[in-house]
Amino acid sequence: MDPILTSNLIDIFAVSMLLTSVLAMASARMRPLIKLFVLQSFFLAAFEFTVAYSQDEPHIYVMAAMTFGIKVILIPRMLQYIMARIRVDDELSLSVGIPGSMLLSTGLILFSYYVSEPLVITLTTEERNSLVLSFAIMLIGLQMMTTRRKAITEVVGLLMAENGLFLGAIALSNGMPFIVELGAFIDVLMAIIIIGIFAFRINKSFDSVDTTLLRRLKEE
Amino acid sequence: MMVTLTAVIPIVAGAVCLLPFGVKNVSRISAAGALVMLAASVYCCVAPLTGETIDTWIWYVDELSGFFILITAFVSFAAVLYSTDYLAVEWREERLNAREVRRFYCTLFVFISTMLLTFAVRSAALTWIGVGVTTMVSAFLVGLYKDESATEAAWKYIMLCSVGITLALFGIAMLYTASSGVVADDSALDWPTLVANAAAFNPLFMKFAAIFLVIGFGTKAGLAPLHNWLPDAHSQAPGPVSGMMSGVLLNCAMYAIMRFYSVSEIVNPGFVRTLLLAFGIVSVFTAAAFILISKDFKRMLAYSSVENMGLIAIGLGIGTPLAIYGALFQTLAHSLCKPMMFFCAGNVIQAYGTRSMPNIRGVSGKMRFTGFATAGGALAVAGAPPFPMFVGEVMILYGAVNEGLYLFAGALAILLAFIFAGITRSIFPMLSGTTSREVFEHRSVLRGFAIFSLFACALFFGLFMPEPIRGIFETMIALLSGGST
Repeated sequence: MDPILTSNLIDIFAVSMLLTSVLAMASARMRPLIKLFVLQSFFLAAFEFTVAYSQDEPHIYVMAAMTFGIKVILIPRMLQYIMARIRVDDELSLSVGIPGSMLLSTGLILFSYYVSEPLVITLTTEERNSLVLSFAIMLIGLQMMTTRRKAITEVVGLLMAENGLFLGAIALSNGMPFIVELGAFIDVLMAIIIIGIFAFRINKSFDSVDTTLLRRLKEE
Repeated sequence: MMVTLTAVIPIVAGAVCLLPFGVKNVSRISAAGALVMLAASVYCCVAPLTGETIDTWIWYVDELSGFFILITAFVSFAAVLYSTDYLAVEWREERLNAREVRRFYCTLFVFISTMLLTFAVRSAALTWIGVGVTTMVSAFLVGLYKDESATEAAWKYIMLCSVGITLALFGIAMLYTASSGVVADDSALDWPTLVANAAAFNPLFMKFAAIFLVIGFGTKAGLAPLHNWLPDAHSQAPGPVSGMMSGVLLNCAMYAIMRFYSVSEIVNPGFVRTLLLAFGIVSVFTAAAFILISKDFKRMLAYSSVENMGLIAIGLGIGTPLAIYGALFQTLAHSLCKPMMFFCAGNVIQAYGTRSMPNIRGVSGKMRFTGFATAGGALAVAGAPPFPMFVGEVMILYGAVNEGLYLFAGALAILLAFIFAGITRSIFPMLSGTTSREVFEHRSVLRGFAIFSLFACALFFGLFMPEPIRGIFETMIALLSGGST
């Protein structure tokens, strides 16, 4: 393929990932949120595939395949299974409203540009511009964890932040050593399984997975 | 070979514990397993601590790793011995069933194995994986009692630490980028290689790596303001687990920070130090505030762990050989005193059925041994002489004064005085007085031995510093300051 075409594709996929993050912050319902996560993971896989193709790096192909298998297929299935079993209410409870969230996200994006500018100029990879986006996606993921109150949204926020992390790792140095990537995937998978187990328990003992109920332990 | 064995033995012991024996037999098996684990760890650490670094396969054990492995093995051994009787009582009083007890031992041993592994590996990537896995495994130990508060604590623990682990991974990616082009790809991210080639790393990326790694691993180490999970998890976990989490699990993340510190100090002298100083003083301040208002026995001890992690961070942050000595010594002191105090708290809470300190009175009268141990432990944790925490604190303060950080040292000294007052004010009233409750001390040889051995070791290091051990400390200081001094 033409190098201009691949570099354009890389940028498009990375920007789409940020876009899905922002859309996720604008969504007030659970099911669209999970769909957006699937979409974002799909863009990540596509991004990795394009990078692998244009740089001719075989181990990024493996990463793309793993992202697709684990984050696009496996984890959403598991989340949907958990949600079906514990009958999560589709409504999200927001502690910051949607306009406020949008403003905050914009602020975070500007902040990531400001922070990562000195890094981007020193990098040599073709997809270095994605580093800015990766910072923004990570920060927005953390924002979702802190401003949405359901247990499942905390999980989705964490997963989205992790997508940003993988984007950044590739932008930095065409991916990390294989052992790190493998470890990271195993870590995510284990985290989801354990989170699932505890989500069931929360549901059993609190009759709901609203994390506002999880604020009882504190100094009186 | 020996290191592999050390990591595998606990897993084997854990697997055997899952077999359907009775609770008594499982206790015996786990005590034996813990003894073998301790023996293997000691055998494995003798060579590194006498100057012969083990460097085989994925393992790399030098003095620093050996120091942490020995602490972990010893405290875990004591914790398993303590668990045998603690869990037997929980089982007799039907708070846990036999299946849960078996699962508990299995998880506990896997947890020990992952901690040993974290210290013994050569690659930063594997250290990171080890820290991540310890979180996953110990979440089950925190949520052992499946009630509301334990579930809440475990949930917070997993979520907050997962964020920390994610940030730390980004830090590792930055570290890799900073080293790429300097280090060959097949030995990339190996700690010794990183230290040897650090001079040529990209300083800008190292700064970003420092920020992400200190925040990420700092979350796991319980440095304020990211410590929120710690008091919940430590107070809800069963007694022996609280002791282990406080005494050795926090060390895992601190060890990762120390390893990175030795690399980063060569590239950007002072950068990580400033970060650690800031996190450290905030931690000590937060801990002081919460220790003063805490009414829950185990939460108060958990905040004291935040304080100690803060002190260790401050010692590293000052960065002179004396202050680093103080930080390492404080690590040792904290790992010995805090589990012992958590075990005493476990005794008291099991006997009184409450953690609320105002409702506990007359411990000395009803429970002789526990009362005596708690009094000693309270003094040790609060930082009174002749216990080792006092020595560590004085060294860190003295290091700060020597560096000309007078205001900082003054503030730290005042905070430490508040913490001393807070701990003694809450614990000593529990010992005296009388109680109308029916209190029964659960006595057993293993329980007493676990507490006594930790207490004796703490007292020993508070009074003596044998020459060979001082030598080990000096090598570790040299390792941490990049092998230059």
